[in-house]
Amino acid sequence: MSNRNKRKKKQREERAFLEVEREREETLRLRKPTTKQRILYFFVGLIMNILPTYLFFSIYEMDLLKSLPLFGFVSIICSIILSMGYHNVSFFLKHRIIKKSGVNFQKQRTKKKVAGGEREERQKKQLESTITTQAVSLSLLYNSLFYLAVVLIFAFYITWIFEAPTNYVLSLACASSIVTYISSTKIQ
Amino acid sequence: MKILLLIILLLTSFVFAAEEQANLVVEKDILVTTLPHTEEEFTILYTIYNVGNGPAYDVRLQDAENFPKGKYSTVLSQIDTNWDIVEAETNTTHAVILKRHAVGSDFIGPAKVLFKNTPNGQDITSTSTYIGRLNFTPKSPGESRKSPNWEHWIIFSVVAALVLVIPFLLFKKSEKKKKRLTMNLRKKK
Repeated sequence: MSNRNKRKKKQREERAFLEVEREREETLRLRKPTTKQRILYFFVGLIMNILPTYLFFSIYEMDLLKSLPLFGFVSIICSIILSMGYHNVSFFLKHRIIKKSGVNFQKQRTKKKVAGGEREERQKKQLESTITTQAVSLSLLYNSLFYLAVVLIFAFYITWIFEAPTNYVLSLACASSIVTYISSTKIQ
Repeated sequence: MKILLLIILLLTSFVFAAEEQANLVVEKDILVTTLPHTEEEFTILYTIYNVGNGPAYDVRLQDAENFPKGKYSTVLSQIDTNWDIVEAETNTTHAVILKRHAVGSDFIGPAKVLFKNTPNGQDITSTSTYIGRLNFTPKSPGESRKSPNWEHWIIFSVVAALVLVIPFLLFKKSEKKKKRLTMNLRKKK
């Protein structure tokens, strides 16, 4: 093979490698939630933890004032764990929906200006944000239902033999861990 | 004649005075909807009715024997108490909140009420009604969960449904918008 062809082949390989690297960085950047998303996931997780807390102080008759520090601490920790699960599922769903839509979201790297290209880019951005909203709302719905179901199973059928405070901690911690673990396996 | 009249008046006053007698009827109740468990509070209510036609002086309620200190502790008020006077045809109440510590069975007998017809008179004893045998068992962890608790479950379901309907509606709205945008982009191609 002549030197010229060897040089061309090497340049093509380098370009392909850079392309792959760029895609990997983009994926890693998108994999991290934005601040708004973090706040939303935490807030929804907190509400999902307050619901079973109500059951514990009404059915298991836990004293609300005495157990308030325990309720607060466990709810916050489980909300943080649950928020990770929400983001994992929304990330997975977003990529699945993008693939199904059949639209190419990669930016055109050409020097020539295509007619109506700016308008198309705007519409693509709009579509991407709509898909993000769809993925986030579906993730919140699915994970919340799953979490509530697991908490109820743990609280009333598995860990009910323990005292009410122990039951509360175990059921919420196990449920949030299971939901987040299963959501992380979807990404892998 | 006058002396005879005075004697008759004195005799009649003694008769009337002797007729003014207090008569205390005491009711003792336990105010619970279900049998109490160990370490669970329960209320004992004493109601004293003076059905006589004279006041009862120096009324003393004594019931500490039925609730020995080793087994029971008072949460609010005290078991033994006293009143200076209970007027005729009136009633008075006394409540005490107790807690039992040990598992076991007790016969809660009648309380004793001591009173006097006159301030310096002799003590008269009256006994109250009794509660009977109470079995104190420990509260099992699963006991509350076995009862229906319908109202709590209904509240929980309604609030959960309200919270979950918001992401569902958001999903439906964004689904319509996505379809419209996708069709627009595909047409241009």
